Amino acid sequence: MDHRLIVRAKDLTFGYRKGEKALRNVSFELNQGRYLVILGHNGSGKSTLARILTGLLPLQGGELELFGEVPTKENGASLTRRIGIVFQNPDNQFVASSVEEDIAFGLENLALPREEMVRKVREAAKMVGMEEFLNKAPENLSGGQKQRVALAGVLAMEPDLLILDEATSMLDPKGKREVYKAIDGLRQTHPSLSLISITHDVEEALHADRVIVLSDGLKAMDGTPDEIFSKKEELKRLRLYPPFVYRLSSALKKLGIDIVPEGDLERSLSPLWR
Amino acid sequence: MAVIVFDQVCFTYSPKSPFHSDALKGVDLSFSSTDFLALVGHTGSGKSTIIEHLNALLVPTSGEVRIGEYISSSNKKRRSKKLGYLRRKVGLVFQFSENQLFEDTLIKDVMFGPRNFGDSPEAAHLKAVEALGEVGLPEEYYERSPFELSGGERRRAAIAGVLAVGPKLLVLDEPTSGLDPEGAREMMDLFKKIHERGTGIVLVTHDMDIVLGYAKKVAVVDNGKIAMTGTPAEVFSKDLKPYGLEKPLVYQTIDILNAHGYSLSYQYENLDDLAKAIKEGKKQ
Ligand SMILES: Nc1ncnc2c1ncn2[C@@H]1O[C@H](COP(=O)(O)OP(=O)(O)OP(=O)(O)O)[C@@H](O)[C@H]1O
Ligand SMILES: Nc1ncnc2c1ncn2[C@@H]1O[C@H](COP(=O)(O)OP(=O)(O)O)[C@@H](O)[C@H]1O
Ligand SMILES: [Mg+2]
Ligand SMILES: [Mg+2]
Repeated sequence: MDHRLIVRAKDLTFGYRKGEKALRNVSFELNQGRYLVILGHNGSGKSTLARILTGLLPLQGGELELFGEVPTKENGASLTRRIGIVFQNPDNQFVASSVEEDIAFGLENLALPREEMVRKVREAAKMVGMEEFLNKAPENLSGGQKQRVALAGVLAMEPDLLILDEATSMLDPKGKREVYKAIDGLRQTHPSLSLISITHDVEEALHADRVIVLSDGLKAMDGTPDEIFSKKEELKRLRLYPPFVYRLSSALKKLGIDIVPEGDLERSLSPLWR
Repeated sequence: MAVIVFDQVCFTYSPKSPFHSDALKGVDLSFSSTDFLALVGHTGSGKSTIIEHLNALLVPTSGEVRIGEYISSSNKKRRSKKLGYLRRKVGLVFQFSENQLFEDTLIKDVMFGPRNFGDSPEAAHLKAVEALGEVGLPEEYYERSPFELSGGERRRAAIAGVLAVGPKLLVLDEPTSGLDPEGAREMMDLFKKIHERGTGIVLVTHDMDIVLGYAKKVAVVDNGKIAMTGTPAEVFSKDLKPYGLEKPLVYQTIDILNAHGYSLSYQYENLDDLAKAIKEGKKQ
């Protein structure tokens, strides 16, 4: 159970136009419960990959298995139902006239008892700190608030695989932290939840189990955050910088001082006073 | 040089309806049209509402905004008539600007602004090509539909559309979100260059390192009011937790070290300097 493959992607290739490839021979595997971050320059193919995984784009080349099965016409819908995706841009994702209805939208097809539905919606809203906004109209929210509602709608569905395509890009740092905390909490209570997060935020990537960097549709790097962020020169070619603690760590190293960069700034710095 | 003044500005969305929302509760703020001003504040604090007053997209529910000669006031009698003039002078890049692309090709979309303000097709084309070059969109993309661009490419296109008009005050609502890290830096360098040519910049961002690196002045927005203004160094040396804000990472690092016996000041601008000071402090 523990090491079940959630995604097995082999040589995924996709072109929107003849002669141009948005994705070229991208292969990777994702184990159950893991947290994968995908980085890469604008237009590198990240959203294209997300759309293929969720069945929004057809497979043009390569092989794909989701939850151990090859998606077909028959089982495709039931497989993608287990995947929750939050897109880059929340404005196109609202369907209802209140935040509450919007979060409930996906649940409505599940024919749950009314009380359970209400409970699930409240829980999801609480996870993203939007419980006070349930009666508001989604279009009247600020940008960051909209992103949280979109996320709550997906969380309410309790997906097995959660894909975030820059779903926190409009949040303030505190809001981001709250969302990551909510997701962390969710991963604790649902250890089987797997997560793919597409982001430009290298600070977020520090928290992942694994990082993949796309460039011009190709997989350019693949490793643990530490393996990726120690390679300063290579990152630069891929239009990326190491996170702050890595940059500070290399400045300190020049002076013969060692720290151990990790997701928590205070812990990273602690060798400086011990 | 024009002065921009917010004088006791209140703004209510959907007044007298169930969706009634008091977004601004008495904003007082003044700056010059040659400033580089950053507006910071937690989600929902009122930043977007403030800047949408700068080209009279929103008009105060009470109080008034003066942009040079132009007056946008709750008092209809005081309100200026030359809205077209204001829209030409003040260019606004919205928070989800990528949604505002609507022409069938990228190049037409960027030409729209100049055309709308009376340029010939040839002149508008020239301006569009220049703006697209500045935001880093190559010629191969010109004939594509905006829907055939990635999220970050669409955002660049939206910025180009505003730059092509050549505004005197450039208002940017989280312009770097969605850009890759190197792209964000390039975009900020572009805004810096535009500022040095004499254009005022008003920037809303959550990235405090960008504020530190580029803005000359910061206003902290909290609960529909201006809580504090100052230079980036002044603002970041204060406790920002009450406003739901985090400091730039350099400042956070200094705060953490000082809590553990160091006595570092906030003056280091690059990490090599900070590292040297840490080495000094460690010895003692
Ligand atoms: N609907 C579409 N039709 C045609 N081309 C597209 C479409 N969507 C994206 N592209 C192109 O495919 C390539 C990959 O786009 P994709 O959206 O996957 O990039 P991305 O990595 O998600 O970028 P970003 O960081 O800007 O969101 C880009 O060159 C883009 O211009
Ligand atoms: N169109 C709207 N209708 C009603 N309320 C709105 C609308 N836009 C924003 N608000 C509300 O006004 C407040 C300020 O929002 P906004 O200016 O977008 O904040 P920020 O840009 O600082 O995140 C928030 O409480 C938000 O929910
Ligand atoms: Mg994308
Ligand atoms: Mg906003």
